[in-house]
This record gives sequence, structure tokens and C-alpha cells, in this order.
Amino acid sequence: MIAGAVSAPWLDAPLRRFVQDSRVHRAIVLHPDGKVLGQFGFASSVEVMTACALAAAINASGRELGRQLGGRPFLGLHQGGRKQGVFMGSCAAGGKECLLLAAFDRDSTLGLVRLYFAEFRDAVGDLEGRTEIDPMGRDLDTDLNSSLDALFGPLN
Amino acid sequence: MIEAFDMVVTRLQRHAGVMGVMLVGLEDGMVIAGDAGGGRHSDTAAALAASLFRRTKAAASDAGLGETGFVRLEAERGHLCAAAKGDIAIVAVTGSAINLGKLRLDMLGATELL
Repeated sequence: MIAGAVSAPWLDAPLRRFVQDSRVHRAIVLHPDGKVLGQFGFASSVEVMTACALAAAINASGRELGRQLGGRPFLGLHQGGRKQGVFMGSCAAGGKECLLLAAFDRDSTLGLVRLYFAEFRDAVGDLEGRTEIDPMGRDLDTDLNSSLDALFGPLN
Repeated sequence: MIEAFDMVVTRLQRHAGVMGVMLVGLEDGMVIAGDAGGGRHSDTAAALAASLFRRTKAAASDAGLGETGFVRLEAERGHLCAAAKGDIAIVAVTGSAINLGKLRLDMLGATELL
């Protein structure tokens, strides 16, 4: 069982199920601005912080590239490697966009990850009204730090 | 190459009782050619069939049975058959009333064309 934590309780069951079914070894859910909502498989807050920053940047780049190439932003991304791959997909939770970034090795495949991501997307999409998100318009650093504190405890 | 893939799919689809034929990448579980037929969700079938084949292959290997050439899943209303060569699997979705022996031979023969 991969260890994980969520700062948004509504995310726990769908994310846990996604990780178990798709057999990814790491998964993280975040807002496009980099605020982390939950993670499985990461060992430290630094890893999560790095993954969130990179995922947010990749998402922004991919969207803009999609707009420039086809007039529409890309909604998913896959990078395959010899031993492991990365998948990122976009979904809506409570009317707000979320990103799921998952890393998988040869225990899984892109097809499986996509399949169970679709189930995850449906599951969080059905949570309309139950996805309480902090209404305070705080800046990225504050958001990220509070999310990381919730996931890993405050830094000493 | 794509023409060869389409030819394999077309040939196997001619079997009575075959409802859908797909070529699926074993590494990524994605559809290369064909479909699962009958309004089935091909992406789902391909992902699960590739996973089934890979895990069966690993189990057979762990049990000392050697390479896996053909896998058949029997379900209430039909079969899911898969044969693979290298990174590509031929997956057939069939009804219950089908000549499985002939389909197996044809699927194994078709893997040589990949």
C-alpha cells in the first residue's frame, strides 16, 4: 500500500482508488496554480513542492501550446520513458479545475492510467458542492505552504 | 506497416462469432488498429486486455512455464482472446458460439505477420 495524504477530505477515496487500480507509484492532485490537494507515494514535502511547481508549469506550457497549435488547450499529457512514464490529466472538482499528475513504471500502462483517470475524473466531478476549497484569495506561497503543512506537518 | 495491421484485423474479423479485433500495444495498453466492436469502449478493452496479457505472461514465467503465446478469458457471454508477438498483442472479442481452435490458430498465425 502506497502511503499518502490529502488536504481535501473529499479527494481521499477517489485518489486512493485511482492509485490502487491504476498501480501508479506516485500521484498528486493540485490546482493549476500549484496548490497541492493530495498525494500518494511522495516521501517529503520538498518532493511534493517540486512536483507541484513542475506540473503547474508543464500545464501552463501545454495549454498555451495547444492554443497556439489548434486553438484549444491540451487537456492531457503523457511522457513515456524506458522504465517509467508520467501522465497528467485535467478534471473538474466542484466547478474548479484540478490536475492529476501520476508516475508509473512497468507495473502499469498508459492505457490503464487513462482508464482509471477517467473514473477518477467522474468520481470527483460527481462531488459537486462537496469540494470545499479555501475561499480566501491567498498567494501561491501561502497556499502551497499550508497545503504541505497539512500533508506532512509544519517544517521545523 | 499500418496496412499490414489493418489486414490482420480484417482477416480475423471475418471469423463467425468474432465481434471485435484490435491490435494493442503491450507496453502502453493503447489501441493501434481495429476496435472492440459492437459499441464497446475500445480504449477500456485494450487497456485491460494488455494488462491481462502482461500479468498472465509474468505469472506463467514465474511458474516456470516459459513464454506465453495465447491467453483466453472465458466469460458468461463470450471470450476475450489475446496472442502477442513482441510489443503488440492481437485481441479478439468473441461470442460464446465460436470455433476457438480455429481462431487460436489464425491469431497465432497472424502474429507472424506483425
